[in-house]
Amino acid sequence: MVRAAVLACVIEDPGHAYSVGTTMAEKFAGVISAKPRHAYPVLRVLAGEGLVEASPPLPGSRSGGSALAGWYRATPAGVERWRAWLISPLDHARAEMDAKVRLLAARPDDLATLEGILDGYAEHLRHAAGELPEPSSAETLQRRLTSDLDARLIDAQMDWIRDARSRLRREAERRR
Amino acid sequence: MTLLTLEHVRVRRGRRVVLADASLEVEPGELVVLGASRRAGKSTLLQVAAGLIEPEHGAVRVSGFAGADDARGRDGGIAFVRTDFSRAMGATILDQVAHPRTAFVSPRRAELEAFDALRRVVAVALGAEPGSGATLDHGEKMRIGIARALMSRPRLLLIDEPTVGLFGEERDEMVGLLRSLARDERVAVLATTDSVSGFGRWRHLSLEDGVVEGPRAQPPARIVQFPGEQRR
Repeated sequence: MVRAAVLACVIEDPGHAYSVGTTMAEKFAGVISAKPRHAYPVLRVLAGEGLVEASPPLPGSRSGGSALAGWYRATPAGVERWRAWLISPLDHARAEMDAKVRLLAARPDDLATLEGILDGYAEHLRHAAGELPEPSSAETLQRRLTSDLDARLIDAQMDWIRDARSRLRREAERRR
Repeated sequence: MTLLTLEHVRVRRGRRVVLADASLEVEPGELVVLGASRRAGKSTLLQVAAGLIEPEHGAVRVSGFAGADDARGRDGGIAFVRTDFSRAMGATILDQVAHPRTAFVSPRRAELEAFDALRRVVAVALGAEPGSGATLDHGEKMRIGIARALMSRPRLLLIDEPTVGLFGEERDEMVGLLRSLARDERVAVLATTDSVSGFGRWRHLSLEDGVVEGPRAQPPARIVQFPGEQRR
């Protein structure tokens, strides 16, 4: 998830590792608990996969020399991966976080993708509702209480989807 | 064979498009629950499925019948659960449940069948008068409605918000009753709800902006037999 977040930040705002890290920490505050410095190793991994590239320091210069050294930008493969990730199915095991990160990682003007993320989340909720245990006389009271809580949280999230969709629709009308 | 099919159904109420492009299928013996907010059109969708509303566009098919209107209230067809009680059907709950059947069998026979239907939904006080509404709570009315719907021996029960106003165990029992109809008697159920609580492994659909979303019906599982085992 942090990788996707960092990649989204590099795409939106190419720059040095620290500034990418700062953007990431601000953009995903409260969703991903990562400090700006956490971007460094992630950027190296992304570079290793060819999803971002960094300007190398000039040969022979000790301090990095060029102002562009360590300046990261996304490769076409990176942009492609980010787009594919935004519309891929959500990870059921941590769908709420996954959906939030995607909503924040998408371009603000790309309403169609935002709507797609909501559709994906609605699908996840229907799936989760079908995975809830059926009430049975064999289950313990505690078990019943916890699955009731799960059911009510799904209800609340379904309500949120309705609100979110109507906000997107109104936004789309405003822009037309 | 698919029991109920709604294809690209569109319904308007005045200028408002209630159902824009609603499609769904229900397989025999299947439990399907349609979640939606108020005014999303879920009652309208059930009424279309029951043949009570003719869609402006789209098709409704019921296997073995000419259409939903033809299948409603017929043996092996569709039953729409109603929770309103009419004086014209008789004074007691037993009368109310027996009434639809008296068109086909003798009053005595209808009464016996009504007893049986009520037994299946767990009894309320049979001699009570539904007119004195104060004595019946929502859950009880729902159960009587289900009993009355079962009188036509349907293969599909359409039921609008069976659990609304029910909490905790009462809610579980209501969903459990519907589930047992599917498991024990192969009656398919299409229910609407505003909460998924208690429904568990039903097929969950949602109705948003007049469109039904969610997984398609899964074809009935193939019967797996082991050598030497007798098919029941």
